[in-house]
Amino acid sequence: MGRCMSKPIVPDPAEMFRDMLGKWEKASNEMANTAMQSSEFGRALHQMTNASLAVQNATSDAMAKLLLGMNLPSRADLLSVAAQVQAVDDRLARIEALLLQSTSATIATPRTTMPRPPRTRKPAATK
Amino acid sequence: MSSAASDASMAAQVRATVDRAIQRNIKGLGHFGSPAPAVGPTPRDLIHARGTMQLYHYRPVADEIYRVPILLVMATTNRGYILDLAPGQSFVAFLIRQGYDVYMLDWVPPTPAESHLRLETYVTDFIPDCIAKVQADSGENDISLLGYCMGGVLSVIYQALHADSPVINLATFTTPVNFKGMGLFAAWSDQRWFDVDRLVDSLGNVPAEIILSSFDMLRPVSRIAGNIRLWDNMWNDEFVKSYRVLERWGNDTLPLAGEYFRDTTKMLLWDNGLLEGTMVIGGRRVDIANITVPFLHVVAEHDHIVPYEASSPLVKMVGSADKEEVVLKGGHVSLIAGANAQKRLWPRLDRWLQERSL
Repeated sequence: MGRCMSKPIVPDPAEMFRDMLGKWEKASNEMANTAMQSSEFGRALHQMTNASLAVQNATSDAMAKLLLGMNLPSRADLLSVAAQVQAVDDRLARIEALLLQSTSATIATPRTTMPRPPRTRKPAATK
Repeated sequence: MSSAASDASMAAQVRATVDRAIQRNIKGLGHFGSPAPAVGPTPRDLIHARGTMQLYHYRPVADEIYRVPILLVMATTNRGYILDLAPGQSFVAFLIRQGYDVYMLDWVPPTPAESHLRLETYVTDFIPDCIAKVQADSGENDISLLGYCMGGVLSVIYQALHADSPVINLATFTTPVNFKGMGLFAAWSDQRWFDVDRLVDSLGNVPAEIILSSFDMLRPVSRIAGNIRLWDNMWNDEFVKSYRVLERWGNDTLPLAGEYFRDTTKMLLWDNGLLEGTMVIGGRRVDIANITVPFLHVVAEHDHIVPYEASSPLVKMVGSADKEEVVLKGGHVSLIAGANAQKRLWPRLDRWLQERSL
């Protein structure tokens, strides 16, 4: 018959589907990439982005005014508090590091006293 | 082939198909109900952190290590665990098994208060700061700097500005230098339409969703095709494991500091400042020819994010006498992670580094 033993007796539909999926993916990506390369697409994309930014800015201005009217903190106020908390946190971390450095009461073994392998390794061929 | 053998073979084919269909359903349910896969398994210590910047040291496992430590610089858009995905799939674990002392400069999302961070901050503050910390921690003056994607761009700019730095070897992977060759990214950031000032002034930091969408749009149907392939291979535990860790990483995109994004758009994408030699950082012109240390650039043959046109001029521009470009099969991610990377990039890099790390 001349048929190779490793080949399936009947065409494997799953294998055919995989092959088709690969071809579809490649062709669709290529087609979409060609369309997205055009200046029309670029212009439309950024028009949409700008419109969305305008809506976002208008909403955030309106929300800020509303929150101010209700005597509630705005997003900017919360971000400012978050930045201050982070600054305090950083300062505490620095103080903690200094305390650990100046006392021997360390929680874990300091990295400087951890055993390190010697830096003597050579490539296998030159050993 | 005899009729009996033909029947037996067909029966085996049907059995395998049915068995896989059953396994798909059983394992598929488990897959949907399971938590996100664990990543970054190699033991490490956070030795320095400052806002978005994190410096890790991976604990050596070899009895003796090479003299020169390695500092990996991760791309600013993604998490560093792509270099330490899972047991058996970790570039970092490979390096420490081969006897290197490995550090990684990784990033966490910049806070709104860090939107002022500029490209200059990354190359004249973060990288030198981490190099100093690596020197202090390792006790060695010399360092090998390895940068992936945008981490490579930062490493190249750093080294071009600091010709007398402690870096004695520089290796970059999939690193663009000709930003006009960045395909769709170049088209989408066309100065005629893209108002980067408006974007940054409105949003502060550029959200991760925008970065993720722009990566997805490069191959718009690949996510759908990937999910179909996942279903098809649901019976195969190894495939599912690899797919899930890579999918987790792909979705784990980082936001970018607003001013950094503005700088990269204007200096790199609009002015093509690295290729043209017009880029100025901290009052100094970035001239890639100032790089004279041994240099290796590894690029991927099928890189859809950084096409060869974008990365190929780099080696020619570097001033080093000892320089090399290696083109390997694979894509932007599979170059560095996964089964292909284990066979191609990792041993190739080891051979290049070992004689330069003494």
